[in-house]
Amino acid sequence: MAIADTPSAARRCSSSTGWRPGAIWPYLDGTGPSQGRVLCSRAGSPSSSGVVRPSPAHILGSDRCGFASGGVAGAAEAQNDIDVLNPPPEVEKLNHKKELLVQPSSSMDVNCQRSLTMYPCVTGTSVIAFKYKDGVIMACDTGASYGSTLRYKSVERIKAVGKHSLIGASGEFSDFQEILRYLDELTLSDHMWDDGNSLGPKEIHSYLTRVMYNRRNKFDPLWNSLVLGGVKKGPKGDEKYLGMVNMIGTHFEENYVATGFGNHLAIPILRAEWHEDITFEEAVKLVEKCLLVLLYRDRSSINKFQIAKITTEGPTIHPPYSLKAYWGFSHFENPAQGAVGSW
Amino acid sequence: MSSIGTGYDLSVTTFSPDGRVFQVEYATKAVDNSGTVVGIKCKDGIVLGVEKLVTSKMILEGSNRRIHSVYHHSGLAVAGLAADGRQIVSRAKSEAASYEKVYGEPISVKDLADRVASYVHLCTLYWWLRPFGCGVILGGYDRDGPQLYIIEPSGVSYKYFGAALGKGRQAAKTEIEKLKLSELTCREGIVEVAKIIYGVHDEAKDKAFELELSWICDESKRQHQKVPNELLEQAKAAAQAALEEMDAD
Repeated sequence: MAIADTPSAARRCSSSTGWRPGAIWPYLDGTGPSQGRVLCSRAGSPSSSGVVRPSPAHILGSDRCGFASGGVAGAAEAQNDIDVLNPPPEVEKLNHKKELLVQPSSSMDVNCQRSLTMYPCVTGTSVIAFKYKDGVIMACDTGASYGSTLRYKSVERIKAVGKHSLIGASGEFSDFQEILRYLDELTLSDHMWDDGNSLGPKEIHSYLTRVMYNRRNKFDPLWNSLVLGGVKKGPKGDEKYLGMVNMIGTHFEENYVATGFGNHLAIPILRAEWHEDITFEEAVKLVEKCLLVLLYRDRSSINKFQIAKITTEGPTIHPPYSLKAYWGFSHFENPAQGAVGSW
Repeated sequence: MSSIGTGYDLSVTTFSPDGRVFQVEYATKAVDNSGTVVGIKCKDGIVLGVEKLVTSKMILEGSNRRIHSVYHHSGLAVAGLAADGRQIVSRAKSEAASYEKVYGEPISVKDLADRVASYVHLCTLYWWLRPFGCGVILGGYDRDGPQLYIIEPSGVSYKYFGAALGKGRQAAKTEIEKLKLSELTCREGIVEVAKIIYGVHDEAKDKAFELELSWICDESKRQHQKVPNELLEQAKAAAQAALEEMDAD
């Protein structure tokens, strides 16, 4: 689920109609509103001067904005000993300061009445979900990171919405709380009709898509990837529904979805092992397999998970629990063995 | 009681020499001519009942709701001009929602009643607005327990443990006073309200009516909702049986 636009591509297609690329993303040459706050240092910029440049984390395709350690793309430029945070003036001069068609403005612009979301602060990591025999199962860990610090360890990132749905979110946690408020208003007015009808997962997914897309168009996104699953009686009996919508408004419906790192680590497992009408016990095993891989490989994941399911009986969010992880690798036990300089 | 306020009754901004605002009193007459609305406070909740007069056989059963949910924990039963009632309900809903937005807590029933009363009163202060032609029974269940309020077209609101509005209010009030409300559960309360409404319904003057019942109680998880169908049917049956007994005497 990588976001395809890069700032350079964005710059190319900017016009004088007022679209401000600098409003969200810093330029690859270091200018723009994110100046001074490096989102992450990642090798692999398309420039020719071979200098490591800061670039936004979301190019990675994950919702985390952490200070990721370098070496993700593994390009050769990473070896340069340049202080990326405070580049010396000679290096700065090398950067091409292009003439911009449209002036970038920071969120603190006096003309700008409101401030725009630039980067998430407290973020949750992956959510995975898939349909099973009786409904939809959803799982995630209960951690929320503040940059690269695992600040909060008991955060519920899956909530029930009405009688028929579950919502799981990764990304900025405060935006998720705001989304829950919108959904509260929605379910309240739905409830007050008291006409025997209630909003199902498809309707809520539609609503969230509209909300996310409209916020994106105002350059003030709700920085989340949302997973919406549920079961509701339809014309063909009990219909299971599972969909996803992300911060730019991309939305789709699928049998299994995952956000963030789950896209890269869990989806391949689900592709291989998910099948129609998987039972609850098998589903839990499959979920735990995916969660374990995420625990090993996603550094913003913690060993405390919540599994939730939604069936015709209603939503159930199980209390958090931990998985048994194996850390007995010889290199972990003797990390310095064979290292240069150790005796 | 029925005095003609010649000359002093043309505008809601005119007082009569004996200190009455006739327009507001005329508005109350609109309430007195409507179908009976009854509300009782039982020990574990509130029951609201409406005698919904059916003017035509073509009207679909269950349409034209007279009892509306205002928030999770409250319901509003309307007596009088139905369209005016819709306006009050809509205002009450938005008051409850805005309170929650600002204070992060559900509105208390007392505050809700105050706000609705203020709004109704507002419309009695200006000559370009007419008073609402409907009285409202507000029942809710919050931290302070179940509460029942009436808001009249004049904008006054009082707290009650048993209340009635509309045509049969005198008879209904007499019946309610006979009940031991502090010992009644909502389940029993439903049956009692149904009996009262069936009792005060005047067969001669009005043809058909539909009984609308709602409750907020521990059993409904303190949410305002229509009484579940089986209980509704039971209550209706019990009420009809009681009527026949009375007729048989």
